[in-house]
Parts: sequence; C-alpha cells; structure tokens
Amino acid sequence: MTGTPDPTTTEEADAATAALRDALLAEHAAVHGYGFAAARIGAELRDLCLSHLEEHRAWRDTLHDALVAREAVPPGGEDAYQLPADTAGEALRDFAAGLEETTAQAYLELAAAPDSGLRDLAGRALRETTLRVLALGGRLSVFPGFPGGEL
Amino acid sequence: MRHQAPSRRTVLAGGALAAAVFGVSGCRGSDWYPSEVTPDEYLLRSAIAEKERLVARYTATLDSGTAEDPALYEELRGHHERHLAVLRERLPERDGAEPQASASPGAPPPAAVDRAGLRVAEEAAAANRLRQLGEVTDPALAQLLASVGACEAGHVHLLSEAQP
Repeated sequence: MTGTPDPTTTEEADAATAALRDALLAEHAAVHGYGFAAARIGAELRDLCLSHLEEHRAWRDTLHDALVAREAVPPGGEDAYQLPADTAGEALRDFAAGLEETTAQAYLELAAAPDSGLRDLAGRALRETTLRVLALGGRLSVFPGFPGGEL
Repeated sequence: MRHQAPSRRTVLAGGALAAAVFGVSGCRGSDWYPSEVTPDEYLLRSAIAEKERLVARYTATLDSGTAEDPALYEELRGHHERHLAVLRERLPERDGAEPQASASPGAPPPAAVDRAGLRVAEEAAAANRLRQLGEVTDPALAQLLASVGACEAGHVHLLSEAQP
C-alpha cells in the first residue's frame, strides 16, 4: 500500500546508524546493570534479573551485527557505569526499571529510521522492554519510550 | 551511563533521524487512494477506526455487567482513549466531508466478549501496529505507532495475568 521506505541518502543512513549506536550503548549499560543487580538482589528476583540480562545480551548482539552489516563500527561498553549505592531490593528494582526506560527511549528513536527492517527491530525491542517493566512490577506506560511514558 | 531523556519535541519533531528523513516523507500517491488522501493519512485513519472499535468493545463488555475485571478493563480502555486522542491530533484539518478509512465499513458494533476475547483483540492490535510501523513514511508517526503497539502488547500481558 504505501511501499517500503528506503534510506536513500547518506544523511538518512548516518542518522539511522547513530540511532543504532545509541541503542547499542543503552544495551551495553543494561547488560552491565542487570549483572550488577542480579549479583545483589534477593533470591526471589534473581532469576528474573538473569532472564532480563540474557534478553538484553541478545539485543546487544543483534544491534552489534546490524551495525557491522552497515559497515559501521559498533561502540563497546564504557569503562564505568553509574550504579546505585543503595542495593536494597526495592532500590535495585527501580534501578532495573530505569535501565528499561533508557533502552525504550533509544528504541523509540530507532523507530524513526527510514529502513523498515530497523523499524521492525525497534518496534519489537520496545515491546519487550515494556513487558520487562511489567515483570519487574512496574506500571504500564500509556506511551512507552516517550519521556516518562507520557505525551 | 545514558539517562538523558529526549524531550517530546525532540522525539516527535526535531530528532536527528526524523529530520533526516523528513525530506522523503509525504504523499507518494497511489491510483487507488483519493487524490487528496496520502497513504500515511489513510493508514492513520485505519488505525483510528481500529482503535474506536477497541474502545467500543471494552465499553460493550463493561456495560454487559459480565466483565471479570472491570477496574482493569476501564484502565485499558482509558489507554486506548488516550491513544485515540493523540492519533486524531495528527489528522490534517479538512473543510469538507471526512474520508472513510474503516477496514469494515457498516460492520455492527463490537459485542461484549470475555477476557480471552479482549486478549485476542489486543494481540491483533499490537500486531497491526508493528505492520503499520513499517509502512508509514512519516518518522514521527512511526514512533507513535511503535509506542502505541508496545502499550497494546502490555495490555496482552495484563489480560493474560488477570484473574477472573
């Protein structure tokens, strides 16, 4: 019906690559953060954190491969991340929810890509991060990915 | 650590990616669309018609007195109404008659269904949003559809967990 939008200019391709890199950086942070949380959180949430950690690893690898396929250099993880000083269960749960919100915002940016394959990736990833927030006991945002989940 | 939230303005209008593709957005034309309706508008109207039926289905279910979890259903209907309002804001203003873009014009109003029926409807809605996301040319509309679809996927999750 509307056809498939294709990136036809260098500017568009550069913007899509930048959005991919931002999403990968968010996934690096999520993998690191969930590793931190899983090592400290109570047994009742440890399996959930480990499950989320694996899902973020999978998306991280997907984004890495997508950048390589575009002949772009995938960014590595940072040397240090801001981690919570409070490692009580509720604080770690909030920290994990914050990781999900950051990745959701990155995927929302990627959803603007002109490439339908990247949009599909972004849409599926945004759904998954929304479901992880619910699994953590968080509330469902009306507009996931937008700042504060609102418009 | 990246915790810088983009503003609504950035995401919807000024994002680098949205700006980069802005030049190729707009009407691509098609023989089987009315000439004044772009493919994006047609798709947007379809999404709105679909949302209206979802709201009507929740309303019919709530009004039937047989809803298993009225509080949850009212909350989810409220989400759909919020989505509808934002989708309608994106429609171009028209002086004359509004184009019809319902997938099933003349269809009877949705009937009350049980929790499983609502879940099926939400699953279909979320799947449609993912498809529409790949079809629109406007990057800001693509972002909105991605976000709405994620919320609908959340509805499926909540309806799967709700206890009768």
